Amino acid sequence: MRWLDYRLQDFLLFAPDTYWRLFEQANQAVWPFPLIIPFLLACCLAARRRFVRAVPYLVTGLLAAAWTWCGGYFVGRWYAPVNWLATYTVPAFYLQALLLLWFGMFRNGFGGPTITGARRVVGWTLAAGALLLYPLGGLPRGQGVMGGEFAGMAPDPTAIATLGLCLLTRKPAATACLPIPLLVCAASFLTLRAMESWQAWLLLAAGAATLGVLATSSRAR
Amino acid sequence: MDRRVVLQGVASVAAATMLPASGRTAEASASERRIPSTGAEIPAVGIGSWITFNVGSDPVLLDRSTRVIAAFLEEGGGVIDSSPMYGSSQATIGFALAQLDAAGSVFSADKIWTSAADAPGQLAETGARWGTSRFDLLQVHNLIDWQANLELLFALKAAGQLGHVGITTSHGRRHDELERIMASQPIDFVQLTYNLADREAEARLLPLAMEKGIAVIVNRPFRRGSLIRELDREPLPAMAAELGAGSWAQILLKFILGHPGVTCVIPATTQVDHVRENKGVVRGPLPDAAMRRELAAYFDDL
Repeated sequence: MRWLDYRLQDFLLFAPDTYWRLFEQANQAVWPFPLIIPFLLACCLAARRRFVRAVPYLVTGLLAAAWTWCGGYFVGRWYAPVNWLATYTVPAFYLQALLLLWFGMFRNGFGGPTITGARRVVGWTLAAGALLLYPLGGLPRGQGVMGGEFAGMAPDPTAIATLGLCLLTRKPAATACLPIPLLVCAASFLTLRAMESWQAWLLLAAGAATLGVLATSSRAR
Repeated sequence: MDRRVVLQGVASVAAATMLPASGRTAEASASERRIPSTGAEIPAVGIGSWITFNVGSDPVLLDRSTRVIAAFLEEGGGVIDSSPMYGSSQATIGFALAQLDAAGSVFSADKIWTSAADAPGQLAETGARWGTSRFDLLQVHNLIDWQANLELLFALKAAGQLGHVGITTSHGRRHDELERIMASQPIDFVQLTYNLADREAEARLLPLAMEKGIAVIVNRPFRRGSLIRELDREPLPAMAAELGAGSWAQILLKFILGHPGVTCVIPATTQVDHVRENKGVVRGPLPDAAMRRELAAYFDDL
């Protein structure tokens, strides 16, 4: 098999309009549920100083719920029928949810000393961008908010939000929660590049920024 | 509607297929081609389903696919080709044919895309998705477990549960092995990639198909649309008017169908206009060997 002969597009099983409409249909079917996890996560982050003890647990719990729903509902129910490869990724979403629960229950979740510097900037940018801005991606496509990708529903903002939140804690155990979101970013980057979508670069930037900040942090230690 | 009824509408043109070409163009261009092994005739332009019909359960896109298949049937129908590998494409085809009450009016072509041990189960699923228990053609997809899978398909054909047996490849891959299979196995069809940019099949496979009496289905005539996107920036060759071709898409299809070894080409599309444009290529003349050489040279110089 001459694998080098294949182009990225040769692995794409669906047309871009089919892909983008998946989010619209998945959101529509359970509306307004897609708003709940981003809203609650945003509330937790806004109230993190007032409820110092509870927020770290709530954030890990919400993220675990987000990965479970994203894998079981969006990937399993909507994405897998047009991309059979996605079927095999569903267990990874559940594994990530378990990792987050472990992180929350046995490592006290997303808490600890305040992060400063570039790591803080990148962490907040990724988390806030994934929760608040990423859903607006449907607007340029003419799909409206209903066509947006919401954290807890769509894999990409769920992965980016997780990366951002992991960067906002210095607990070593948080690094165990990074590989799967980074793999999601890589897979989505390739998919969106094959579709010639500008959003591919957001995934690449999120993954690269996370790895860059981690590399810098480990050198500084 | 019976497939033969559809085919009879253009039967008079079909006879011309076998006539020698006169002048520079092959007037015998004809919309119908004969399957050498069984003598059945099929329209020269079919339709593929890779990507375009993989729309999941989206009602809007299912309706769009149904309109495409309806236009395909209006233009004479013929081969609809799919595979278990193509996501929900089989189910989309089954949905459209049920909506149009046209399950028996196309030349149904699908594939085995698994090991021989799992093939019976996969074929049952494929039939359920199409809404049919008998296919006109089943092919071994990309040569997967081809010895055992061909045995299974030959047995189905012998039992009268299958019309024709074939094998497929794409992207110009594994031609040596395909050639050995064509030379040694009593297959009815071979499916391969052939277009202005991918002409490797001209050297051995197409002549061998003619010699062995194997019908040829050509996939990826537009390289998944990229050939058209690249060529649309270029002027049409001067011979386009002589061929009655109004677009690069039609030039590309005429180039393929002008080869005497080609039975059918299966462009995929999501647009009704494109179905009609693709089907229209057989209404005008096709290029003869000299014109095809000119076209290839023109393409190579771009």
